[in-house]
Amino acid sequence: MIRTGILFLAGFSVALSAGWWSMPRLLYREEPQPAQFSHIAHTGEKGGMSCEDCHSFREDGTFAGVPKLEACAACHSAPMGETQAEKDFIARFVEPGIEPQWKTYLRQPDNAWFPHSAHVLRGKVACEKCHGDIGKSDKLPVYRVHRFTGYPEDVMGKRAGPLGLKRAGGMRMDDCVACHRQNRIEHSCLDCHK
Amino acid sequence: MRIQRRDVLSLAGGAAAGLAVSPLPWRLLGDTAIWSQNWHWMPRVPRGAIEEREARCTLCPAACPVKLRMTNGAVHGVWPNGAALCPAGFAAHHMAWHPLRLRECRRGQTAASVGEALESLRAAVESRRGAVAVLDLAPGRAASLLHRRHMAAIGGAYLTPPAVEGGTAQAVAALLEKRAELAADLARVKAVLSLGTPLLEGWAAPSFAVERGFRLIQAEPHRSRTAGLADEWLPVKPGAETALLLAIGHCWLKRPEMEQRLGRLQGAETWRKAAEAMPPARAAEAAGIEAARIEAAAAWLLDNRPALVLADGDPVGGPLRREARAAAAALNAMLGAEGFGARPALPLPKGWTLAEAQSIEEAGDGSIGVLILDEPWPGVSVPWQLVEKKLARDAVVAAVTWNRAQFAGKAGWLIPAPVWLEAPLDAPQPVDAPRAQIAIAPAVMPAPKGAMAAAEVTARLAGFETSLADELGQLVKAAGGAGEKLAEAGFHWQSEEGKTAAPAVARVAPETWTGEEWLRAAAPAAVSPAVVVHGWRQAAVSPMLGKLWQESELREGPQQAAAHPDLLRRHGMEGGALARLMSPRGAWPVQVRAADTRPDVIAVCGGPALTLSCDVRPDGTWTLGEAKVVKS
Repeated sequence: MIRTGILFLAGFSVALSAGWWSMPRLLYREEPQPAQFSHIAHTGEKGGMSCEDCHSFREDGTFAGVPKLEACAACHSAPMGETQAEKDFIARFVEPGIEPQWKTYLRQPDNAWFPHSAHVLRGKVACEKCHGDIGKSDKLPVYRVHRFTGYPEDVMGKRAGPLGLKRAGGMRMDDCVACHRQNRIEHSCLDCHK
Repeated sequence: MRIQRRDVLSLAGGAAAGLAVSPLPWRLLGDTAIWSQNWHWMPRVPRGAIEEREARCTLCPAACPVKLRMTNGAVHGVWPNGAALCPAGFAAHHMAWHPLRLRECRRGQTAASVGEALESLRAAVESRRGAVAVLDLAPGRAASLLHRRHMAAIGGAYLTPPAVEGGTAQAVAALLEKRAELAADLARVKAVLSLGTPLLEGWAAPSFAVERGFRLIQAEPHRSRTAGLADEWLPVKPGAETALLLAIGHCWLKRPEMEQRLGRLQGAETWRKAAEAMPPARAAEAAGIEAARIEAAAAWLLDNRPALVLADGDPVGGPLRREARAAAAALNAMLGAEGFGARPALPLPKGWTLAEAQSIEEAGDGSIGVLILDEPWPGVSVPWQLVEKKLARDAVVAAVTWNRAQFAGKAGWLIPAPVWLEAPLDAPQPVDAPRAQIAIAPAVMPAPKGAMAAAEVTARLAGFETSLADELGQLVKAAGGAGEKLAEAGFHWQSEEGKTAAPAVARVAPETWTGEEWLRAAAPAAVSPAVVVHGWRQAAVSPMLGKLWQESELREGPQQAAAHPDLLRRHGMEGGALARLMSPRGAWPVQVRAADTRPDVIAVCGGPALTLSCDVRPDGTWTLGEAKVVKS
């Protein structure tokens, strides 16, 4: 009886730790960004730029997203500072004219229509509401992508736990619905699923 | 230590219990569901800047101007461009991903190449010269002229289905002094009496539904969307349309100016005899409408001229009986055909020879050895009984179609056709305006491998090696366009809409008709409850749209049966209950709902599958014979 209990507890403990500790780590894989980037160097006192200077809206109201190389090259055709990161960026991307393939943390699934213009321009939602303090960060967060779905961790939500089943953060449909409901702008499924 | 089975079970039981209280199984459950969004065959919306291109929706004769919202060559939105757009237009780009889309050539149940299909058809055409025909399910397009050109080269026949939209115009055209193609002129008229014609839900351009300058009386057994939007709804018994029209003619005969006008037309005596025998009181009994309402409608039409009487019928339910169309034509003739205009012919390039267009009813029974069916978009159909009897015993039938459902099991070959925006496909001539048009959509999306428009198939059989775009380009040049880059840019041309005089009418009725024929046709169906079939042709464009309608009840969706609440009670059915539509040709599940219909009618909203199964009457019209709705 004691032996049975011990074995049961052993199986229970191994599965429990696998489920709570290993699985969340195994569920995501880390992928490197093409280069390191300091937002604060650009938006801080020294840089003096705002979010919209790089993450702009086109004339037709659509959001341009991550700036293209030409936007970076407009200032960084030659090093402006002394950092190695800047020199590396110019050498690897600006000089040969190679577009860096930035990985975006909150890209929505293809079946969801998320217009930045409706949220930022019409809804007056602050960038920080969804993107947090990334504009003040000194380096890019680690980019983790879900092994099954291919969606970034920032969309899927942080690892479950440590104390509850409820995922932390994320930008899934429940999050969209909650915000829309809170702001009383629930219209129909077709708002987001065209 | 020896490991026993109990040890393994204990360890496994503990592990199972441990996993159950960890997030692993629950998280995996959710994540694998999301995983299904990223399967490799799911269509992807490319990311990037959104560009807009102008085009024409060519899924119906309205040819509405649209703006395509595209990203990196993929269309993800269709919006109106300065005019109204119907719901099917908004979802027209979904067609490329329709679950019933035919993506490969098939011989019966097996996959084959388009090359094999063409070889087989070429051999069949060679061995059966003189017995080749193309059945154009969307006649009136520029592509239809190409079919006629190719059939002239082969010595084949160009066939059209019996006219539904435009059927009244054809009946009026048969009464003219000089032969001409007519079309209703909705922009000209002030009053319209429509019998079973879905005037404001797909028959006329959406702009007329949004902002119409005419007043409308809609006569049909159920309160359709058009009837709901009309100024008055006359709930006429199915089959009693002729009685209603004769009674209106009866009322008009009391007006001296109408009597004088009638006196100048040939066939007046026959018509007068029929109309005089149908006073409003008698028609009221047949049609189930109060005599006073019939008299009021007759007076209203004369007091709000120019007026138009339409009896085209419903595209799914089929054209109205021949006599009803003739009676509507007679009323229009008494009005001087003031609601119609002559449509100019499309300009033809020099040297083109065209085969005569003829209705499939005119083809000899068993006379077709090789038949090419052109089904370019959803919703166009014809009862198979009508086609079948024209086929020779060992006829070769090839359907060039966008879908793998309608003609599967009927056609020996199924050849995939490109859909809107995959090839320079064009719209037919409008039925609501007397103008000629060429409206060609650009080909901005790739078509499935091997997809060929039907006009390309007939071109290859006729030995023409030019592409669809090149051949259409010749037509465009004849119309004054450049005729180049059609596939990239599309094209739109329409003849000038002058305020032409109404066409001169010579007769009030066909020469051979007797008054008795009309009166015989004036009796409504004796079956109660009568099952009438109706439907919106463009309903099948996007399955998502159909689902939206079904769930929102914005519009009757396919397989919904509407009946008066009293009728449902009598048959022990409740709204929302599942039932079966039964006929000798098949059974279909339907959902019944209480609605504003005549108490002796069940109105079934259906699609082309119902049309395909209909029985053909001797006059070429069709009905779902001996149909009834029974509880499941």
